[in-house]
Amino acid sequence: MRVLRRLRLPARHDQLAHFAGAAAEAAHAVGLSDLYADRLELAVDEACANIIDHAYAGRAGEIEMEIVLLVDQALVVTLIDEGLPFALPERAAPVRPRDAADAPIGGQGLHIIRASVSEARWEPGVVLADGRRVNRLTLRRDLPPRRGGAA
Amino acid sequence: MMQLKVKALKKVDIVTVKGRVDSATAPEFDNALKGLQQEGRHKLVLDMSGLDYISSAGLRALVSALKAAKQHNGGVHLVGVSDKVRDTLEVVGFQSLFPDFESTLDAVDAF
Repeated sequence: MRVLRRLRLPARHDQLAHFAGAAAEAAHAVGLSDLYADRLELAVDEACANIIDHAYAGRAGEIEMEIVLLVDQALVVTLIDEGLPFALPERAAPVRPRDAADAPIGGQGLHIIRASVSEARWEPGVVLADGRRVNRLTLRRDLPPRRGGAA
Repeated sequence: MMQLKVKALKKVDIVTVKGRVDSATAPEFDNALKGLQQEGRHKLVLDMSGLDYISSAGLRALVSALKAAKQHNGGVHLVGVSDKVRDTLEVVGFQSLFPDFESTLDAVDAF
């Protein structure tokens, strides 16, 4: 396991590009395709926006992000906040609307997160080793199998 | 960072959006589109050739503009959509809602 990046910034919308950009940068650094890097950027952006809007909901706070490489396995982004635990709906918004009238306004963020990574796991109200009670969101992008492995 | 520019033609408005439309900038994007529509301008061409990124907050503004436009016999035509932005539209299943043109001229002519 190798820590690629740690970032701790105010939970504000104007900081989203820093979190999302760091995730995309890490994805490129470990050789993920543009598509996977773009999707991870999107998932981190949407996840941080959810934390700002629902966990902190107007209150000041911070988001901590850690990006870890599990060698030959996955890139894992962990987001931690000290806001209120918030429930996420089990099902994301319906997709593929037939026309404009059928298209939902909003509710796409959660669907985007789930569709953009290999695994997304929410753990509201977990207690860390340092005693803090936090919300933890883990986004995992599995790495593609390496080519030309041992015969 | 996001930059917006609006060029009014006789019946169509061309909105050029550049940079990043996320939760921080989407309100400005949404307000610009709503402002045009409140003036009765419902045929919109969005030039996205300089758009680097759009999140669900930006998509919300797009769908909201499309719904209002359709109610007034208008529409929202896209130009210069990058692979990255197209992928985001596809993730949420919105790609078929927005006609996508190769040039601004084609997008304007299609109204």
